[in-house]
Amino acid sequence: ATDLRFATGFAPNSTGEKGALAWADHARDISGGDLNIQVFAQSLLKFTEMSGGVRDGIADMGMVLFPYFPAEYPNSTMISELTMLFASMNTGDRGGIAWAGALTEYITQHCPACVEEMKAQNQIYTSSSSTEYLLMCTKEVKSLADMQGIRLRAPGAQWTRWAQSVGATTVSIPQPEIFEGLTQGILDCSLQGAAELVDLSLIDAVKYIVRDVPGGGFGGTGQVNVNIDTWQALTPEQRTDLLKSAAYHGAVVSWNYHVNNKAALEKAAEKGIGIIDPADDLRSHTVAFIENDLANIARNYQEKYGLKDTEQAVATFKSIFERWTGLVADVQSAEELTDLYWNEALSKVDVNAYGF
Amino acid sequence: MSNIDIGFTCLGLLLVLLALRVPIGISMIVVSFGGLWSLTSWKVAWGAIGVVPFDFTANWVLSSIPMFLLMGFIAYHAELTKGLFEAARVWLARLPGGLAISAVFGSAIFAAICGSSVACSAAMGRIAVPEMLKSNYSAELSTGTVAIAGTVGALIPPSILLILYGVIAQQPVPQLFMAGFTVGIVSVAGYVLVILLRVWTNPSVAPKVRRDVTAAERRAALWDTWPILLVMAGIFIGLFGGIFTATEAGGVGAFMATVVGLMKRTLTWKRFRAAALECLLTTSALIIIGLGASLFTRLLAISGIGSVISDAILGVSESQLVILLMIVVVYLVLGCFLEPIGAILLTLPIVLPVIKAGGHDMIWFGLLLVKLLEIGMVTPPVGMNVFVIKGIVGDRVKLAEIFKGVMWFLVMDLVVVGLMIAFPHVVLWLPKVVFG
Amino acid sequence: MTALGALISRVIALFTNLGSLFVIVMMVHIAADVVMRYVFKSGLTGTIEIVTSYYMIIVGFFSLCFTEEKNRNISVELFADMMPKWVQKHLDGLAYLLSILVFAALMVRNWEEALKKHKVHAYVTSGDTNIPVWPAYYIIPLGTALVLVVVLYKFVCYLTGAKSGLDTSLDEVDPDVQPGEAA
Ligand code: NA
Ligand code: NA
Repeated sequence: ATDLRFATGFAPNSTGEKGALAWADHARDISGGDLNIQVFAQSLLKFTEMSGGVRDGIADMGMVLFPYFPAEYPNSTMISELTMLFASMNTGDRGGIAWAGALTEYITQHCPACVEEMKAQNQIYTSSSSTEYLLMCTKEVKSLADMQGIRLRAPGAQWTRWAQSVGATTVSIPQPEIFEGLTQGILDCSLQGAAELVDLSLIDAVKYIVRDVPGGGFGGTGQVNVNIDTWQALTPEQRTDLLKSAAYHGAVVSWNYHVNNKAALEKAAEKGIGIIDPADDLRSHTVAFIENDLANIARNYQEKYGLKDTEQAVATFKSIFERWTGLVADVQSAEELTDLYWNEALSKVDVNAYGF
Repeated sequence: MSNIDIGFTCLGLLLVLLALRVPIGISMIVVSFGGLWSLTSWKVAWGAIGVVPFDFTANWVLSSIPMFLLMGFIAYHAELTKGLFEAARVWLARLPGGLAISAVFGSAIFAAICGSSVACSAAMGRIAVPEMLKSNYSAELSTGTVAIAGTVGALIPPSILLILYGVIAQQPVPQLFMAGFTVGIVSVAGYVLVILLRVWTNPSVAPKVRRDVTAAERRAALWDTWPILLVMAGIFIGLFGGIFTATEAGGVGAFMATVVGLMKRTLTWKRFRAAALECLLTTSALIIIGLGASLFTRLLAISGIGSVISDAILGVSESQLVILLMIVVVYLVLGCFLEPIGAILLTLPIVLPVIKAGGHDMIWFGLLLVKLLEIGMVTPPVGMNVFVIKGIVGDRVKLAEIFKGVMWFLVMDLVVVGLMIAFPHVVLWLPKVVFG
Repeated sequence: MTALGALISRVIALFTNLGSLFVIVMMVHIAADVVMRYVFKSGLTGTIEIVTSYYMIIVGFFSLCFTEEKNRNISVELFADMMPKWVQKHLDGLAYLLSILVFAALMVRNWEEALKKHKVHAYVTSGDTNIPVWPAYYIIPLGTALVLVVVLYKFVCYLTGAKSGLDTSLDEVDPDVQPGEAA
């Protein structure tokens, strides 16, 4: 058996750690005990250390968040900035599970530059997870006019641009201080996953939750990035099993988010938090903004960071994502989702060529 | 050698290096590097010492530590604290042991803008101890009171130790600060009680100070406290009025202390520089230990001895209370000879999992931990607060006398620790009220 | 030798002054951000990123040499203090030797890391603005190189028995408070 250290920056007992532990069991099962994965939740590497930590082999595998290292992973980070497609494609609460599949397919099949940039950091990509973000506020915001002067925490550049376009101002506050910011009035609104209602206790601070607008979510995870020396030292069978189980990992985490988000929203509604549908003017403004911003993102990455054919890359990814929104429409379990990620994306990877 | 064996060998080696007076940070880095190397490979160990330093230091919550230090040092060097003791003394003139009680109140108020226990003792010690000695207070009572009263500097927010605990244990600092209020105030009440009891049983330790105080004098004395009250009010209003966060309060508070010092015309460039230098010394000493501790955590994780030790502690008894009392005793012993920053960073990687597994509230434990470490600041043989007071009184009072003067208060501190364990919800009451 | 020590102390003073300057800049920057946010609804872009990636690294690493010069590293003194003076002298030598190894390793390794970050021009994003952080990575090898010089010099003085001539007095700071141990 081969012992492998997996590091995640999620806290013990979080949705993220539980997913990782389930994955470790899954990998042990399908490999007949040959892959022995030990999960380190926060004790080995934090998210901010993950890229260098996997590169240097402090962990054999780790969950790398690309937007934390935009200079190291420009191609993958660019794609992660496109998640507001959730709003324009109206993916509702299935945006995250579709995104994870689309990103896996895109990076492994359609983006040699992505694979190369991971290789430059001495690692290979295997799979992703994703979830939707929701706009959570202490004030009722429904229309474009309501957004004027709102103080908003935006978790990325694309939402910052959107906030500017609707006349809101962005406040930068680190994630653990969101609760304090909302209760003390430094923030009116904040964008994050519904799970944070419980995990960051935002349920006690938030009064309104806006559906669908501005959309988007976390779209830049390398769920299981593997140190390249570790990868190459595995047998072809082990590499296949690792990829299969990576599909499971991405699926189980994304699916658990999907389920937990629903539960968190129900709990919020029970608590009397208003779940608002945005007014038409805010919705249509947002959709128009997104179309325009996609072109912006492609241009930015081409001009500022010297990437090539970014417009083509955005178009390719967009069509892949569209296909995936259809694929996941009727998925009912993490297992079904795993099969999709495997059949539609990861089974096509040649384990004797990938990462060599 | 198994991973566990390597881990325990490293732990043993660490203790040897510490005993040989190798700086704590250096010891931890050496041992962690060697341990990671033998557990995995040179490449991993070499990688780790490049990944960790930047990331550990570039931390937003941690950045409030130099700022809170700066605020306290500015307030102290610019003499913003000066009127405090005088005001308390004029108002409490009639109480038996009034001067000692004044010193406690003065420390408590200064604690609200000073994050460190030693700085708090030093500030009040310089003003209050000579005054008490002059008024024929016993040497033991005079020095012991100020040494112990300084410890509330780390309980009443801001508190460097609570911030550090928040960073390591990933607990919200505002909640820790709120809970710190309660524990700090209860401690202050306890110290006042001890003074009253001592003076009542032995009036000779604090002779009645004959001095008639007019109403005008009282008002004047109160007026002299404006600099510190202004800074305090600024922080309070800013925090609760949604103007800044607890992390930003350090920088803003230091700025306000600077402005008030300039208004009062007591903040010279030389004094400001002294405050900045102290801030640098403390911060860099903390960073190098923090780095070592951060590396050591990885060694504990990969070798697996972290969980072996935690499990062993948990296996000692079925009763959580017994395990908790064991931890209390361990920290009281460690506190005798370790400095709190070192003690926190050395022990938390092992102790936190035990506390989590025991189902204890992590905010509550943070307060218990800081309270225990603060007791260590006044216990022999190494008691930083006592050493500071000794530095101020020079040859007038023996070190042993100061330690003896502290003993009475230590009994009360142990009672407070007992109360904290018996009534954890009281500690957590204020955070709950404020943050829901 | 003492002349060399005095020279080293002068270099340390230079970097300490720089560190002090950045403590002040950090304070003003944070306060300005809060004021701007309150008055104009929008704070200074990138405050958190600049405070953490630049000021903290400077404050933490430029002053290592200062702490070393003033002998203010935190250690457990209890057992060593009970030993005879000549033993203590050699314990100091051991501490210097290990410090040399640690700071040399940190210097070389973090120089490598800085080169890697430089190569990709590492940055972080705050709002819609990119803030380059790669230059900050060079501060760590620089800071550790400075402290390495100090401990190397102390070690040589220990071996030769020469008087160091380093300025160890704390008069400029505060002789009572014993900074570096305050918490
Ligand atoms: Na305090
Ligand atoms: Na002690």
